[in-house]
Amino acid sequence: MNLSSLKLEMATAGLGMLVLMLGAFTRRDDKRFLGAISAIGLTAILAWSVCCGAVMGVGFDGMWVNDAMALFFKRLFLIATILVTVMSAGFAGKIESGVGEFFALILFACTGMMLTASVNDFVMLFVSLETVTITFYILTSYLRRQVPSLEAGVKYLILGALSSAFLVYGITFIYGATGGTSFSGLAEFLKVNGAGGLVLLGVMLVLAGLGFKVASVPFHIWVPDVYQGAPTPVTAFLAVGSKAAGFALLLRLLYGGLLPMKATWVALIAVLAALTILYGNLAAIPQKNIKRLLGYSSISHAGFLLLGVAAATAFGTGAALFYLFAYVFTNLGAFLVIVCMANATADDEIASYAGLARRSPLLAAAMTVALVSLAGVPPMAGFFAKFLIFSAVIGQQLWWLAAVGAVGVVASLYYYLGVVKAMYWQEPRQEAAIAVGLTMKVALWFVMAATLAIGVFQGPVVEWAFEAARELVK
Amino acid sequence: MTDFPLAFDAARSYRRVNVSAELSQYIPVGLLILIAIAFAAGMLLASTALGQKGRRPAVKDTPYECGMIPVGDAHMRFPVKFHIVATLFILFDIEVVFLYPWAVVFKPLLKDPQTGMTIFTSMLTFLGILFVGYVYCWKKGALDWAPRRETPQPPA
Amino acid sequence: MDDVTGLLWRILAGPLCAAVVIVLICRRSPFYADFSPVMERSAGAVIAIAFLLGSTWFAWMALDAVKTGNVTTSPTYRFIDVGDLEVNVNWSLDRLSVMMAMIVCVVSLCIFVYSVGYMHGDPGINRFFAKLSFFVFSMLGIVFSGNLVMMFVFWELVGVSSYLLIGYWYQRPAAAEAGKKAFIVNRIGDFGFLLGILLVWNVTGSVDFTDIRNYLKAHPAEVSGGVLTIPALLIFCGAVGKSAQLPLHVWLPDAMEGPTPVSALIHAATMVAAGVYMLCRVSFLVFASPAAMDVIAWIGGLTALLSAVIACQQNDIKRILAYSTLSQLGYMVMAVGLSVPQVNGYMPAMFHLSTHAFFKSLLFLSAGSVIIAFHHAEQDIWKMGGLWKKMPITTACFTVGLLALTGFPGLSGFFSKETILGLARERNEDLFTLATVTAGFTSFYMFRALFVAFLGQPRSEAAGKVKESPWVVLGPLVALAILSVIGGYTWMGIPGWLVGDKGLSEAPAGTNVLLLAMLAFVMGLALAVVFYLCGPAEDPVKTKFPFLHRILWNKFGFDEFYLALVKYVQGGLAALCELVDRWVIAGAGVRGTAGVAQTLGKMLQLFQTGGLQTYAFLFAAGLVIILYYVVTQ
Repeated sequence: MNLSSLKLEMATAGLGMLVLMLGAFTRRDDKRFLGAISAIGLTAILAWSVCCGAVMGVGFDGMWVNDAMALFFKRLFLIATILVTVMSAGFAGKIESGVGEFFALILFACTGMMLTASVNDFVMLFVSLETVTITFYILTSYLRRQVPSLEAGVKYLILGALSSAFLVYGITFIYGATGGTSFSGLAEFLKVNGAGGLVLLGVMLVLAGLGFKVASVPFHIWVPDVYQGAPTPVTAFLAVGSKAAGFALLLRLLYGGLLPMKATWVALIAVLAALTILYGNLAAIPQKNIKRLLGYSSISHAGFLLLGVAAATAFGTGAALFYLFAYVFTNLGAFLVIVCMANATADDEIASYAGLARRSPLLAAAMTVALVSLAGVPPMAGFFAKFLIFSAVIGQQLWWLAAVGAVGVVASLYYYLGVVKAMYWQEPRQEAAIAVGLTMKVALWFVMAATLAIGVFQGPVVEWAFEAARELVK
Repeated sequence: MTDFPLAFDAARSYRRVNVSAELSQYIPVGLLILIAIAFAAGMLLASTALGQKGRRPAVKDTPYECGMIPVGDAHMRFPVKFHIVATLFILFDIEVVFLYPWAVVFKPLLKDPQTGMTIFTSMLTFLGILFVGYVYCWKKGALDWAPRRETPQPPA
Repeated sequence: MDDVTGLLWRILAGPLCAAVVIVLICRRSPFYADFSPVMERSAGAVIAIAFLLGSTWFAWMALDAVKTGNVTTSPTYRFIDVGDLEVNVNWSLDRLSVMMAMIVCVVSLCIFVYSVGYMHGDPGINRFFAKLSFFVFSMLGIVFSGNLVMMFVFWELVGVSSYLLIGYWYQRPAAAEAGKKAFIVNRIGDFGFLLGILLVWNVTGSVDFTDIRNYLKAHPAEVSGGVLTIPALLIFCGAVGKSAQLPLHVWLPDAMEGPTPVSALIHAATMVAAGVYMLCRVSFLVFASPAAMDVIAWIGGLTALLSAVIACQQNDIKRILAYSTLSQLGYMVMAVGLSVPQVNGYMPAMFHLSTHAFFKSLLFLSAGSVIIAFHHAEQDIWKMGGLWKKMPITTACFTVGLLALTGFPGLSGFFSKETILGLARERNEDLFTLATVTAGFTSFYMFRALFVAFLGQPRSEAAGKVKESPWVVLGPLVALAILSVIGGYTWMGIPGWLVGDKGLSEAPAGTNVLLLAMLAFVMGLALAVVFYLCGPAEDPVKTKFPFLHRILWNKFGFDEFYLALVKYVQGGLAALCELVDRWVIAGAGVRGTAGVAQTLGKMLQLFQTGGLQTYAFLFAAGLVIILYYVVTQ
């Protein structure tokens, strides 16, 4: 185990620096080519990770672990980032200045996310998490002349700082009690002494910090405001990448450090999952803004993911991983449409989507595929993901949890299909057709195809996710 | 094992001796805090005790009792450049601080050639990243006091 | 052992390719603008016939291969593999399937050629041939299916193509209705079929014919005592639907709304026979349950009698033939139910199926020839008459088909019907009586049609102006007429082929049966002569026995009964569902739930004040609650 186990992260960070330098030295006004460079570079890194694999094992004094799950998450982050860069290239027209830095920051955030996948120590946890979070503070307030973006940035900064404070505070308690910062040390301590007193306090504070990242009730409160105000690609990245990073850390911590107190966290996460599902889905119903709606919907999806975590089996974890994978494509599909729409209509109100099917059949179809998949309708990827999650939960005889999940699914159909209804069965405000650029078209088709393909030919992805989960859970 | 030797490995080994030994390392810090408090309090007390009491004309409340008469408010707006330069100073300052502990452990770790190479390249990487940031600031004109020559002057 | 799977693929691919090619290229297109008229008008027929010829040739090779006895097929790939259910794409290749395939191919070929004349000038002729080819593909699929699931798939495909072809003239409301009726009624039977497949799978653990047969052989104890009665009867339901047996026979007469070649091919010679073929294919299953066999035999017998009686008072020439088809299918089904597994097996049913395919398609095509002569405007036999002078060949062919159908000695129908009657005599006296009476009715209604439509004087202006049809129509008629005559002789070898190595055993009750059958034939003929040969202007039965006429004219009121059933039972249920839906589901369920959800959502919005301090407070409060929860737990 040496530096070569970090090669993917180093490559991504290097790509980020390259983009930053190119952005600083180029004289071209249109900096969208940096998006192309980012996307191509990330694709190369993804291909590298697939064909050359990675150095597996634990290293750096136990702070760093590369296993099947780490690789799963890293590839997931790379895929998500590729799509987000493509989306950002389509969004670049709205960014007043600093397009080059925008792409560089996205790449740095991606590096941070990839780091989270391999975390095995609280120090590493904090560093990787802050790498992600701090870049997101900047990205969220990137439209600095627009009040909503600034407001979102400030809210995210302050609440994020609060959660980081809780997190660090928790880590100090754990350090104070166990005399170390490694996950394995914590596990040993818990095995010997049991959970109680200051360790328990510390663990709960850390979990609260991670709860903020994954947007679980009651730490979800920032989500709607920030999602609505942030630039759309950033919202997408928050909803997909940042959340997945939170789950990567959560899984690492739960199975790395907190395994001896499994009974406690299973009960806690089950309750939080139920609350999150109910809150996200119910509060989404009256929403009028599509980004805010997807914000609430992302809360509810965090709930479903927690459902898989609460099942606390290899099956449940695998289901959650598959869910994340399906969620990346599905959710990014929806955000791609939002970017195209925002370019054409300059707002994100659901009312602007009325009659979209007549103005742009492709956008309407892509949105429908995405929403229907998010709602979990066969044969989309989202259906199979929910199916796996529910199987896992029922397999653990958590009937009440499955029932709550079912209620959530039904409620979610209501608001997702409300958008579909507006797109297909309502009169458009204006008839003008919406033009979609070639890159976006390709991305839309790709995401649609992936959403459908993962739903129909789930086999390989399921196998991949479950292999990762088995190695983690053992 | 070609593992990455970390400086705090050594720290970790003596940390677990016992609690009192662990706490004793904070004694200098405590002393420093006490001295700081005592110093500030002492100054205040001394000026109260030794200072002239009695009449306080308006002149006494002005910032400067002699020289130029101040014009306007002290809470004035100043160019954001100050802010950027200050931030950059702190940034690079702090990162240079990391060089000190590295320099301290560098020599003993140099005895093993391979570890020496690792620790050397690590710091080079770190400085390289720092350098990229520096070039970026420079190129972006964050270090220029005056507006850059290429950019067209705003109409007066 | 030769593996001839490839041969089967080729047989199946022929008609399918024809359908695809016709749909793809037979249209107006800039690519071959100069040929467009040709492509639009006649290319479809040429392509369909060419591909069918190929399939027929391959079917003949398959027949030849089976004759040598050293052939096998291999499963091509795994179709379904879920849990314990495993379905391969595999094939049945034996004497039964190749013979059925030959019948399908030969009859189809005659009918394809005939269709060129019959459909001449129809604007959708390419569509017609595409559908017809697709039907042949599906039918051959049923014939060669190696397991129940595949058979079911092709079974449904046949249903679809039948629906498409009945509704070929979709502009006519009656045709569209008839198509729907056929499809829906068939679905009822297919539902039973599907349940039957599931039950068989449940009992034997397989859907593969060979595996089921082996299982039944290996576990005689476990399948005795009526375990298989319900599965066998449910599978029989499929046959009831497709072969139009009581009580699901109502669709077949309406299906005559389709073009006459379709009636001949699908609703007389092949598709409706698929039910009988299927029963023979799963005969090992049916034979394992004597109770199921009894039910099958009685349903067949009753269908035979009832339809023969109804046919006596129909006036539409195609409907008469349709009821006659029902009646003959009843014979076949009865024969399956009466089979003696150890002796001739399903031979009598299949024997009658094959001869019936020849003479019934002959009859239909002759009727079609008459309809051509009337310019597709008239099918009522009481508007015809005197056709024999103007259309001698058609009349002769019709007469040959008629004699074969009524079992006149020396024609193919005679042999096959005698086999069935002999079997009935031996196995069940009651059914024998029934079948003999049916034979009498058969001869009555067929001669009625002949006397009224073809003999005597023209009854309408149009009937006086008819012309003989062109040779493209008459050619297939003559070919089928020849087959109808010779199809039953021993040297044609159909019965012997069917029993295979076991050898044919002679029916013991020869002379007796022959005499009684002839008696029935003569009585029917005599009655028809008395009533109709003198050339009455109106049906004497209608004037003399109005009550009888009304009952038969209304076909015993099956359609009315079903309509009432649908109207009152289904309508009542629907009304109830509507009430429940409106007040319980939509009212309390949907609107109530939606209202509650909306309200809850709005309440949750109250948390979202937008104020940073509130958010931070809620964050911390949430943490405190969690800590409290965890500590007190």
